This record gives sequence, C-alpha cells and structure tokens, in this order.
Amino acid sequence: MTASMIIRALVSLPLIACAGSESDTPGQPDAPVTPGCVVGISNEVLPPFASASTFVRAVANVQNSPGQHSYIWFLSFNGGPNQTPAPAAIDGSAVEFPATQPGIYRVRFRIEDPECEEADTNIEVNDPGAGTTVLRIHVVAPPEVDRPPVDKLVLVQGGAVDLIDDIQLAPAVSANGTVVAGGSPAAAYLKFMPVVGADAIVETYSSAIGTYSTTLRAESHSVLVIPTTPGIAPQIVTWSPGLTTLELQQGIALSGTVRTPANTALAGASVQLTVDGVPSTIATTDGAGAFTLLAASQTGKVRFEVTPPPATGLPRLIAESALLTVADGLEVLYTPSLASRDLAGTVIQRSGALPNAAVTIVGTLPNAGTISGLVAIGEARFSAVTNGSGVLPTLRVPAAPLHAVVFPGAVGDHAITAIDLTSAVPATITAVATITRTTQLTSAGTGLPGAVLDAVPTGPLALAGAPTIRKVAGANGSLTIELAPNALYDMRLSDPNGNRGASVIVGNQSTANLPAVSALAKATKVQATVVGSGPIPGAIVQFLCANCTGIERSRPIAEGVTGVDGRFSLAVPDPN
Amino acid sequence: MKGFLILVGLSGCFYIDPINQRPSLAIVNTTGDVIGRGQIGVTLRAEVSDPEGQIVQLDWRMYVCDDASVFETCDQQPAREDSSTDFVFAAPSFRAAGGPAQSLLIELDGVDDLGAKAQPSQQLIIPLGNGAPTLITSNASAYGQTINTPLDIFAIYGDPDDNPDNVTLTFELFSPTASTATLSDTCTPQPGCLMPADATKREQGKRFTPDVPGQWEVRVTATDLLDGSASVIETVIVVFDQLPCIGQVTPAAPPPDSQLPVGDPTLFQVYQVLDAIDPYPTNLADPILGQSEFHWSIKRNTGARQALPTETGNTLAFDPESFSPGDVVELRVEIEDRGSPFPLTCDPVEPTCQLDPTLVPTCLQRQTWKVVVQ
Repeated sequence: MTASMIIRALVSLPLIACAGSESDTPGQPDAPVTPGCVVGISNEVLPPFASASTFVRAVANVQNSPGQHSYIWFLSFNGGPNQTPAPAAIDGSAVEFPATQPGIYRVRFRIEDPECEEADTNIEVNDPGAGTTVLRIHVVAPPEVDRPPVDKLVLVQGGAVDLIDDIQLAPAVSANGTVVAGGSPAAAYLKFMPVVGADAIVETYSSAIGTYSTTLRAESHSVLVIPTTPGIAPQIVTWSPGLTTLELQQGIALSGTVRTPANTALAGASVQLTVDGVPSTIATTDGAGAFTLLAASQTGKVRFEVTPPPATGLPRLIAESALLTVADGLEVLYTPSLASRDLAGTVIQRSGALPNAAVTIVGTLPNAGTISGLVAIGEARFSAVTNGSGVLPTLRVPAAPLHAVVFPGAVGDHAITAIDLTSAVPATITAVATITRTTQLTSAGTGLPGAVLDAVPTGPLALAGAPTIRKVAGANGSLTIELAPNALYDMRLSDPNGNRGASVIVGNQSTANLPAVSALAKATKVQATVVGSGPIPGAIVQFLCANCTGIERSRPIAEGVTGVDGRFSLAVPDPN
Repeated sequence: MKGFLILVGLSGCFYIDPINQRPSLAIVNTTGDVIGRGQIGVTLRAEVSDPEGQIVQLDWRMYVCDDASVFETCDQQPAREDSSTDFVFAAPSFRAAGGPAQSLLIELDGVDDLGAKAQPSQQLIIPLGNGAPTLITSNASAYGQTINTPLDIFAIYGDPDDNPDNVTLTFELFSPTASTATLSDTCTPQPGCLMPADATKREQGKRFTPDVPGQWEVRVTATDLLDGSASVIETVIVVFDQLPCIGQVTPAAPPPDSQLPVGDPTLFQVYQVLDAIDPYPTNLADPILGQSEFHWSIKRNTGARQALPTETGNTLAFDPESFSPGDVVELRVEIEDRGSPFPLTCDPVEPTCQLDPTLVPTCLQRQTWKVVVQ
C-alpha cells in the first residue's frame, strides 16, 4: 500500500451533478453560476485495495435542497447489474458495501427533489499488488476554448482501469508585445515554455515590425527566440505576465577557420554552435575558410557542427562537450589521413541494373577531425540518383566502411548494403530485395483488426532518412510488411482504437526476428475529465514517456480526444 | 377606505370633495373553454377598471375541486395565489388528497389605492377535462446527420392525469424525396429504453437511416386511453458526407513568409481530423466510422516534392541531421476521407488547401510547414 493509494482512496470526489453549472462548450463564453441543487458522493475505501475484508462507504452530499430526504441507492460492479447497497446511516444518506474484487464500483443515488439530478460516481478499487508508473499527460484544448495546453506528470496505477484526477486547464492571459534588439524591432520565431511543465509550449512568430500576439497561462515562461532578422543570436529570454517587450542581445561574436585534410581553407562550409540547447546563428566559411557566428552564450553544454559542401566528399563534423567555454579563434581541422572516393560509374543493381534509383551513402567515422581541440566524429550522408542504366554519377564520399541505402522507386522498396570504400570503389552495389514478413497483432491472444505496426528505421537506414513504414492490421489482426533483410527497425505496435491494448516498442528489431505474433501490452485504461470552468469536450489528450529525450519525448504512447462530457479513456501499458 | 365631505361656507357656495368609488373587475379566460388536467400555460386575465384611475392591487386564488360550484368539495387552501394581471398556471391534475382534479374555482379580488374593494369578488369555474399526454422529442446522430448513417429520434412522454404506461406512441417518417428508409425500434418503453429521471415519464426511440439528403421529419403522436393526444414534428437536416478538416497541429505552422526553425528531431503531428464519419482519432469498434488518410510529402530547397507513401500515420518524424544547416524543407500533410477528392485540386504551390472556400471556420485539407534547418 502506498501513500498515494491512501490519498486516492480517501478522496472526496468532485460534485458531479450540478444544476446551472458552467461548461466550456466551444464558442460559449463562461456564464455565471445559478445556485441550484447540487449532489455528489464522497467515498472511503478501507483498506484501499480489494480484499476479503475491504469495505467501501459512500456518503451522499446534497446542497441547496432543504428538508429531510429519502435516498434510493444503486450499485453496480464493472458494468454489471444493479444491486442495492446496505444503508450505513439512519437517514439513508450513506451506504456500505464489500469490495472483494478489484474494478470499478459505480454508485448512484436519487432523492425525491425533482430539482436534484441523480448523483453518479465510479469508485476504483485496485488490486493489492497494483504497480505504478509515471507518465506525462499532454492536453491541448480545442481552439474555441482559450486555455493554454498543459503538460504534467501523472501517477498511473496498474489494473484494468485507473481513474486519475481531473486535468485542469488554467485560464489564458493575453501576451501581446514586441521583440526588440538594440532598439530595433526583430522578426523571430518564439517558443514560450512554462517554467513548470516546459513541454506545454506555445509557439508564435513576431512580425517584421517585431509585434507578436498569443495567449499563455498567467505565469512566467522561458522564451526561445530565434530571430529571422539577421545579426541577432538566438537566445532565451523570460516572459512574465504584463511584459510587453522582449529585449534581445545581439550575442557574442565567435570567429574561426575550417581547414581540409590537406590543411587548405574549406570554403562554403556551414558552422553552427549550440550552447545548452540554444543554437547560434549559422555561419558560412569564406574563401579563406573563415567564419563568424553569433551565440547567446559561450559557456555550457556545447555542440559544434560543421557541414562541408557535398561535393568535397568530406563528412559532417560533430563535437560535443558537457561543459566548455568556447573561446574566439575556433579551429576546425579534418584528420589529415581522411581521403575520399568517387562512386561515379558504380552500378546499382538487383536482378539487373536499377535505373533512377535514389542512393544515399551513409556512415559514421570516428576521429574525423577536431574542433577547438575536441575530437569530432564524422557523419557521412551523400545522395545521388542513378541514370537510366543504373549508373551512379559523380558522388564523392569518405574512403571508409559505409552503407549504401537504395530506394529503387516502388512504394516502400528500400535496401541497405554495406560497402567498404577504404581502399577501392566497388564496380557494383547490390540492393537486396525486401522480404515479406507476416505478423499478427494481438492483445490477450485475440487479433486486433485496425491495430498498427510502425517500422521506424534505425541505424544506417535512419541516417539515410528512410521513412517510417506503417501497416494496419486486417480482419484478424494480421498484416504483411516489406522490410529490408539486413536492416534494423524500432517496431512500434499501437491500437488507434485506444482501449484494446497498449502500445509496445521493440527497439532495433531485425527483419529476421519479427515474430509471427506481436502482442500489444496489457492495458490499463486511464480515465479522467478535462476541465476548465466546466468539462471541455474536444480536447486532445496524449500520454507520453516521462523521462524520454529527443523525438521519443513527443511520440505519444496513447492519444485521444475528450467526449462531449470532457472525459477520456486511454489505454497505457499496465505497470503491473 | 375613507371618504370625506368637506363643507366650506364661502359666500353661500358649497364644495363637495368627490367620493372614492370602488374598482370593478372581470376575469377573462384567454386560454379557451377546454382545459385539461396538467395543461400548462393556462392564462386568465384580470380586466380592471377604477373610476379614479387608481392602481388596483389584485389577489388571485385558485382552488382545486371536485365540483367547483360547491366550495365544500374544494381543497380548503388555495393551490396557487398571484397578484399579476395575468394569472398563468399549469392546471393541476390531482387534489391535495390525491384524487383527480375535476374542476377549478378561481377567485379574484381587487383593492384600489384608497382601500376600496371591488364588489363582489369575481369567481370563475373551470371544468377540467382529460389531460393530454406530454411529449418532448429530440434527435441524435453520432455521425453528424450524414446521409446513410443512422439517426435516432427519442420521445419522452407522460400523462398528467394517468399512468404513462397507458400512453401509446406512433412515429411517422416523412422523407424529402422518394426514399426506402423505414423506422425501427431503438428502444421500447421498457425494457431496453432508459427511464427518464422523472419517474412519471417514459422514453421511446426509433431509428432510421436516411438515404437522401435534405429535410426529414418524424411526426410523433402520443395518445392516452381517453384519446387525448399530443403531436410533435421532429425535423432533421441530413447532409452529404462533409469534407474532412485538419484540426490542431504541432508544431504550429508558420505564417506566410515565415519559416519554422528546427534544430532537434521533431515529430510533426496532426492531432485531430474533424470529420463526422472519418475522424482521427477514430473508434474502430464502430462499424460505421472510418478514418481519414494522411498523405505526407517533403520538398528540399528547390528540389521537386517527394511523396512519402509509407508515412500514412498522423505523424512524421523529421530529423534535421539528415539535412544541412540553412536548408529550407517543406513538410506537407494532406488528408482525404472516403468521399473527398484526392489528389487535392488546389495548386500544389499553395501551402494550404481548402477545397470548399465557403466554409467558416476554415476547413483545411492541406497543411505545409516551411522548415529552416538549424
């Protein structure tokens, strides 16, 4: 038994039937509350999990209905038939019943006052062994309801159903103002991030005269500003309610040079620095290999990125440091031994030559250079299209072990082939045909028609920008998918229906190992209501990974839309 | 009330202050002679005349009786009192003791500013007839009243002076043009239909699947054992399958002439497609609902737009590492449902597409993000 379980078991549920109550119906302004009969049910579960000795006590709350009342109570378990619970108060205002099984106990009561609606609540009683997990919930109100998004952590308890607290969307305040740098207006992209729950971002743009307008929660926000007006470094500033000017600094000028493996100036290379996640301006080297960029800061977690012109055959250099103060006079040097090869004339073939095939040569090279003394890896990514005879045009790439990723042209067709260019260029590269794999998506042994398998390329395929392959299961939950035989994918199984099974990710699955049956996770249905001044229908609700970074942070585990009563029910993996 | 007579002797002349006169009253029944038990909005009007034009304070009393001509057969306390010119009430169905109300005794008194009371009190006897059933109808469609999807008509009914189980309903369907649609039971009074919260009422529902667009009508008639009846026409406008609309997206699409800077791997998402029968997210368990399809494409710098035919979900992962800093990349999503045209007929150059420009609010079938790689 956890503290949270006790707290949740002793919860006094919100009043749920309220004459004259407000509602955030889209397009309707908030209306004043008209006093009227208000009914609700409080409950207590002791002990706070199902057992042979567990009892639930439910107590009627009635307001604005004078006099003695007679109460008619109804009880049902997991949607089963109605029962009459035993009275637990002389006037009938409370009832008590055993909760020997985990599940949802629906309790209702009526009184004789016709002004009072029926009170109705679901009481969740968990399995004593129910585990918990922490997820992020991200909620976006429909455009008609001016309440900014919310992104926060929620504790989900295992079991068939978990009723979590209402998700409250706070009112919005206007955030109108001007972006200014050195006294002049600046056009920019603005990303407002709340100090708490920073993923609940609100994006907007300032115009050429620097003005912007949006709505935010009435609390401080960090604002990532990426100017499109030249000569200003991207930076983070703070916005608080009432502030009408976002004042930008020009930034710190950092200069340097980029040199080739032959120690000659490299012209036309893009150079960018990122400090604590805030990018600098993008600089391009001149004929002398020199550049100057503007950064908001020069100390912190640093990432350098130098992208040479594709025709050089040089890899992109990437160097990172957890803590560094970047000094002026940056030196970017390619490793002298780094050579390149030209694939011109190489034939891309399968059963025969593959004309008009898109080919991307990818790979990662350790120790490809240095940036201000930091060892830089090299990332190779070079693309070309074969001619009508399947022959590659000039395509200069690093002389290293790499991969050729080939897209012959048919929908979904792709291939990956290892090539070693260290000492020579191959005359042909064979793009092995995809193979057809069949799998059945299931939950608890039952096929799930309409469930989805996303094969998200990883490794070299991902480097080549290969798209996700999505397949939807047919009538018995089965599907076929064409995959490259020697490739790796993140297999993401999900159920758009939301409640039949929870999503599963199998990382770096090889094509050969795709099983004949792919089971979705046992699901816990998380249910709650999204509210503003009243229930909010049409709100978008997503559950996301709490600790993920990168793109996984924004991939939903489950998503849906609230119904007309503002409620949602979404299946997430059962933490048990 | 006071009256004064003042005699003033001035040069043999007399002045007599006028005597206040009583107001007169009359009751006018504006509802009609036939009033049934439970009938709402029964209106009686007081016609008031005061010779001095004073304001007359009115006092209405309504007694519920067996025979209103014999006061002893009435409830001793008035069931309703009022002081308005118009006395509006619902005809009672029952006496205080529980028996049926047979007639009403209405009394009206009036007193003017100086206390003169209208004489005699006005009385009106209203015999009460059979109370006609009450009937409220509604319609419900889970599919935006789209052609070839089911529509439900619900009737909540009762009888002010009888058991609601003695009321029978008839439903008649009228189509705008020739149609083969028919009504079937959605729920019959009991069991199978929800009991309204008011225990004196019942609910019944019928379902039909309109096969032509336009105005459909369902006439519902409730009839009690004494042939009292009430009839309501429920009107439904049935429409063709409407265009799907892209709902909210993330990241926010940049305005014209602006670019979205992207330096980190980013998931471009269409949170929602708004459509009556092909929404996203959808409910696969519903045999009628489908799901709109997503078509993603990409255009790099000045290159040609490339379709991404295997990206058929509501999201597209974009990794800026696959591009060079400063590259301008257009990511585009277009949607189609089971009835909408595809490829879209809009100019491919346009960042958005609204196939029906008359729709308000905007209903887009295309959204483009112009991204600048950081």
